[in-house]
Amino acid sequence: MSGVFCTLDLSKRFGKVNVLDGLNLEVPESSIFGLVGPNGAGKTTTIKVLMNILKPTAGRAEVLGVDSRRLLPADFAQLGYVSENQEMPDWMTVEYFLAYLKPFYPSWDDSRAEELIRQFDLPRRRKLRHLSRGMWMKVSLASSLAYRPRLLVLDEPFSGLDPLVREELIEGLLESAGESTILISSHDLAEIESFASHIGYLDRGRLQFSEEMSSLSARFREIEITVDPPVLVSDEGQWPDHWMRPEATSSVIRFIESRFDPERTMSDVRRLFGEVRHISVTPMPLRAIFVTIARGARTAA
Amino acid sequence: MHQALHIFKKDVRYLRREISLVWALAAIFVVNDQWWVDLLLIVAAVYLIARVIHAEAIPGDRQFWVTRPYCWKSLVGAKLLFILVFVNFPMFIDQFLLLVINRFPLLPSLPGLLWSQVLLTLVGSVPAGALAAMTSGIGAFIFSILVLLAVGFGTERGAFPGPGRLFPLLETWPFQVEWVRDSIAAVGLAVIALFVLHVQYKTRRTFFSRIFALSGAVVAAVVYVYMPWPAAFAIQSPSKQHLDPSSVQIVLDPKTAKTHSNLSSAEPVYLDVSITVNDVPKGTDLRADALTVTLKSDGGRTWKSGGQDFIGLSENSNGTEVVFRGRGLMNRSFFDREQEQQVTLDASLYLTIFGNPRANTIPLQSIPVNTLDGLQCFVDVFNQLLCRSAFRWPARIVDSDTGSFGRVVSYSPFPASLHLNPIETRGATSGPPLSARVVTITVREPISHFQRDVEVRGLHLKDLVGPTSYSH
Repeated sequence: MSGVFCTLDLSKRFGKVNVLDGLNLEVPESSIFGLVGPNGAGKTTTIKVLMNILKPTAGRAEVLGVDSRRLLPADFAQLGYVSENQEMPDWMTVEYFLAYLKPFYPSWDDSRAEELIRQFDLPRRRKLRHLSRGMWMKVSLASSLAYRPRLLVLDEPFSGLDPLVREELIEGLLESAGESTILISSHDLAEIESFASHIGYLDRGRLQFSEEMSSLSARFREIEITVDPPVLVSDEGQWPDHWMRPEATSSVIRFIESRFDPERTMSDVRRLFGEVRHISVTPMPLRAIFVTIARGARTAA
Repeated sequence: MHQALHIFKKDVRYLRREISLVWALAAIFVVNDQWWVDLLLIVAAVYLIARVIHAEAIPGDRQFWVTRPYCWKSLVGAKLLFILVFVNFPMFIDQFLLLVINRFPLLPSLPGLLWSQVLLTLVGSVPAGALAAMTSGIGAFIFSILVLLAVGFGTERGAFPGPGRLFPLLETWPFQVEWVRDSIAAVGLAVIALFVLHVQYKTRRTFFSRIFALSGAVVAAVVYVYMPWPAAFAIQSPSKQHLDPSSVQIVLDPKTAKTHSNLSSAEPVYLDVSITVNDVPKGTDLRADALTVTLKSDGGRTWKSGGQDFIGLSENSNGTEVVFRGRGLMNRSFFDREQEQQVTLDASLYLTIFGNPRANTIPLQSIPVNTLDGLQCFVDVFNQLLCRSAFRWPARIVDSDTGSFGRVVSYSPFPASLHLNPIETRGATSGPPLSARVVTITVREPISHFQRDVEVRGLHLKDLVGPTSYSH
C-alpha cells in the first residue's frame, strides 16, 4: 500500500451491521480528498478507523505508512482531526486550549497559531462552551492547523454552518493545502467541488469510485438527444450500462453518460438511434453526479 | 515526564474548586472527626478521582484527546500523580496531624502511617480510578458506585437469609483471622484495578476491561464468601511459632454429654461440646480462637459445623488446664435420622498461646498517657479506663489491674487497617477504683498458633444435645 492514507479490504462491523465491507481506498499525498456518500455509507467510520478511534473488524488501514492500530504519539503529532461531533474541553478558553496543545506538537508554529486566531477572528478569552458552533469549528480547525500536520482529516466540518463561516473554513484549509494532505468527508458537495482535487464515493461500506475531480467532472455528462422522425424506444437493455437514469419519449431521449468520451458517446448514439436531429451535452455539477450515482445504486439494490 | 506534568497542571487548573473542597473537608476532619465528616471526605475524594479521570475519559469515540499525541504512560502518570497529591496526601496529612494532636509517638507510628497510605491508595483510590476509567461520565460512575454498594451491602449483610442461604459462611469468620480474607480481597481488588487501568490507558478496550473487572469481582467475591476459615488458620499458623506447643493435648470433656429427652420436631437442636486442654505451658495464656466439629454416623452420613457454630468459646482456666465450651446448631434431619445411632465426633480446636508478658504502670488521668506497644490509656468522665492505639489495636492481649480490653484481637501482621481515622479505642471490662492513682497495663503477645484434633468414637448423639436455652 502507498499514499498518505490507504485501506486494504477494510471491514467494520457493529453487531450484525456491516458498516464497512472490504473497503479499498487510497488518498494520494498532497491531495484534497473529498469522501462523499449518503448517510450511513461509512464515511465517519472510515475516518474513525483511520484515526484509531475504532478498531477494524477485518482488513487494515495505514496512515502515514503506519498501521492505524499502531499509531504512536509521534504519528498523531503529524495528524490533524476535526469533527463536528468531537467533545472538546469546553471549560478552557480559546487561548488556553491552544497553549495547552502546543507542548504536544514539536512542529507547533506560534506565528501560524496567531495568524489563525486573527484570520478566524477567534475570541481569545472566551471559553469553548460559550462559542457558537461556527466559532467552535474554527477553533478546532485552528488547533489542528497550527502545527502544520502532514494529514488533516475533517469529518463533516461544514454541517450546520452559515455560508460565511464555511467560506472562512475553506480559506483556512486552502492555505494549508500545499503542506498537508486533506481528507474531508462531507455532504456539502458544492463546497467539496470547489476545492477538492480527488473524490471518493462510498455507499453501504463500499467504495463506488475514487478518482481525480477533473476526471470525474470530465466523464459525467447529461445528454439529451432529439430524434426526427420519432423512433420506437423499446429495448433499453441494448443501451450501454454506463448510461444512467435513461428517460425516453418518442422523440427525446435523456440519460447520464458516466464514461463520457465525445467520439465513443456519439458512436454509441448513432449505433442505437441513427442520425439525430439535435444532441446537447451538459457538464454536471458534483451534486448532480452524486445524486445520479446514489439513485443508480439504490435502483440496483 | 514533561507531558505528565503538563497534563497534571491542566487538571489542577480544571479541578481547583473540587480540590479546595477535598482539602477543606480534610482540614475539618482533623478538628472534628465525626462520621459524617469522614463520609463527606470519602465522597468528595471519590468524586475528585472520577472527575480527574473523566477529564480525559477512556470509553467513547468523541473525546478530543484520543486523536492528539498523548502518551498513555504520561496520561496515567498524570492522573495517578494528581490522585496522590490531592486525594491521598491530604489524608496522609490528616492522619499525621491526628497522631501529633493526640501525642502518639511518631517513630513507632510511622509503619502504620505509611501502610495506611498504601491501603488507602491500593484499596481506595486505585479502584475508584479504575471504575472511573471504565465509565464515560460522572452519571455512569455514580450509577456504577450505587450498584456496587447495593451488591456489596447485600452480600455483607447476607441478603439471602434463611435455611437455603446463598452465603452460608459469610460473617462467620473468627475475628482473629478475618485479616486473611480481607487481605485476599484487598489484593484481588488492587490487582483487578491496576490491570484495568493498564488495559484502559494502553488500549482503551473498555468492553474487555468491564468483562474482566466483573469476572474478577465475582471470582474475588466467591473466594471471599466461600473460603473456609480453617484455611486462614493454616495460612497464619506458621507466622508465629516462638514456642513448641507439642506438649499441649486436648480431650473431649466428659461433661459434654448432656441428656435431653423432650425434643419436639420443631425445636432447634444444639450440639454442646466441651474440650479440655491439658499441659498448657506455665506462664502463658491459652486462647481458643475457634472450633470445628464433624459427626459421622455408622451409616456414613456426615454433619459438619458451619456458620456461627463454635465461634466465641467460653473458657474456664485452672492452672495448666483450660476447658473450652461451645455450642453449634445441628442439622435437624441429621439429628432425627441418627439420634439413636452411634456417631464418631471429630473436633479441631484452633488455639493461640500468648506469652512474654510485659507490664507498665502509668498514672490514672484524663489525659492519655503513652504506655506499651503504642497504646495510650486514660480514664473518661465516667471513670472508665480506656486505651487507644494508632492505626489498629495491637495483636496483643491487653489487661489492666481491674479488667481486660478484650479477649479477641486480630492477628494481622500489618501495622494498619483500612480506616481514615487512625485511632482505635477500647474500654476495659471494668474501671479502676475511684481511689486508684495508677494503673498497671499488661500486654501478652501471641507466641504460637496451633491446631489440635480429637476423635471420639461410639458417642450417642442424643447424649450430646443440650437444652434450647444456653449462654456461654
